[in-house]
Amino acid sequence: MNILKKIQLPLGLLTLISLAVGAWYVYQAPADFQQGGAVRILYVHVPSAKMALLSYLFLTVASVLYLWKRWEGADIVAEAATAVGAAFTALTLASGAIWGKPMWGTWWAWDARLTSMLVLLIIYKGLMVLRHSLDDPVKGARATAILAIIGGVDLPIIHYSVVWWRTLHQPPSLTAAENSSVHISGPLLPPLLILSGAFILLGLYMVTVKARQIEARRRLDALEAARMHPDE
Amino acid sequence: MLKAAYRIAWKDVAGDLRRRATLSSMLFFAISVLVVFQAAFEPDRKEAVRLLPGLLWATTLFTTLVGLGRVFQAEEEDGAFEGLLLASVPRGVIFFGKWLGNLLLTLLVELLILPLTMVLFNVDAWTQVPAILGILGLGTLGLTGLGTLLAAMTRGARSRETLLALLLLPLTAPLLISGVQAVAGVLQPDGVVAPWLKLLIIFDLVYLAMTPWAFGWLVEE
Amino acid sequence: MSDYTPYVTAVYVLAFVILGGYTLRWHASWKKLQRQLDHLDPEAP
Repeated sequence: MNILKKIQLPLGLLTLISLAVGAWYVYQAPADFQQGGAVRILYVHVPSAKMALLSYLFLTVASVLYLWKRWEGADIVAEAATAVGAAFTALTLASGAIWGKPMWGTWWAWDARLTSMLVLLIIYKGLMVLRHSLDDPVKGARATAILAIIGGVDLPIIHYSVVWWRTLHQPPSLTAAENSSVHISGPLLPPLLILSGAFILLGLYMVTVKARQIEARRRLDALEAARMHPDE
Repeated sequence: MLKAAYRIAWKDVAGDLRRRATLSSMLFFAISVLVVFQAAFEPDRKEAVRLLPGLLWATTLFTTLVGLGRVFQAEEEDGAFEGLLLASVPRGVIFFGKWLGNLLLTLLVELLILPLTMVLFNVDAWTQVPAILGILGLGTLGLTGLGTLLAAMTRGARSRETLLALLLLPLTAPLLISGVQAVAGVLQPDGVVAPWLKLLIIFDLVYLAMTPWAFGWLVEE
Repeated sequence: MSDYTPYVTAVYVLAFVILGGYTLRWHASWKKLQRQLDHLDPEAP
């Protein structure tokens, strides 16, 4: 975990700089002719949705590594990625709802992407609860890693089933509104790209912070367990 | 090899049929779910046809949770799970046996609640019963596969029934969507069924291929 | 454009609260744990 200590400060500074540049571009960006200023919501919503999925990918890779090589570090990173992914998923859902109110007229529509995101949030929550409801931490870590991999395989199936379901059922007006409004191009693109990059850095930084916290907690738990049962 | 799996499954199913513990609690749980739905929605005849696919699948899903809570109960009570693992059978076979036992019980419950639902909700679709049962059974293959793995995973966990529901329900979203759409397709004269069946089969294949392997990882010491 | 200002503001505030809030909370929690660790086990690196 020494590497986390080393990269944390530069990563944090880089994140702050890129977020500031992104914010400046958002401030300068022209309003979209179709959705006006509401496009500024997408500058948060779209990168956040990307991070919600990217965190899961990261989590799956860490889980595979943990099961295969049994590195405790991989498990700590997986636990950290779960918390970070859940935070981004929650932000995606909240910003999607706030965007939907002026654009669709409702806070929530059972649109394919929002529905998959909601399911993703429940899966993240399930992973967190599973880990802490087993008494043996090694068993908890292994069960969580297996569930994370299963969820990783299931996510594409969930996504496609929801897409099929919604495209066969959706009222055409909603589909049209959705297609016209999520499309971003031209001068609106630079802030989106910069903020996407900044969010990736932010996600990595959050993983390092959370991972160090988890590592400290585990060390403390181990010390306390040793103090309680000195003979073992 | 397969004999061992059948023995595990048979021990669970026969034992349960003798005591009727799991079967009857699943069945009565399913009936109370149906009563809740009736009281909550009070559908008339036309609405009942529209609601039937969702009713059937929601009832199946909740009832499966009851059954899954007990898959490893017998072993847990007398601490025989570790003994089962020590037996000279591959882990995949143990999983297969447990899955088979749960599958048989769940199918039996479905067989009973389908006519019951149709009677209680006044849906006249008796000619479609084999097709609906086929769809329910197809979905149940993957559902019980995933469920048995999750039951093994939450063995010994705190508040495991809640945990099981929290873990199982989001992962079965594709199953619920395609199952409901397929049954709805069967009930309507010009309904679409084939793509949803395909999705159900994909779901089954993915889970039945993944879960025995995952079980092996789970119980490894 | 001004119609959307409250929605846009809400999203940026929310982003700051959720992402910034968790980061700061984890950081504070780590600091606290680290202090306890130093107290318990001053020899550790």
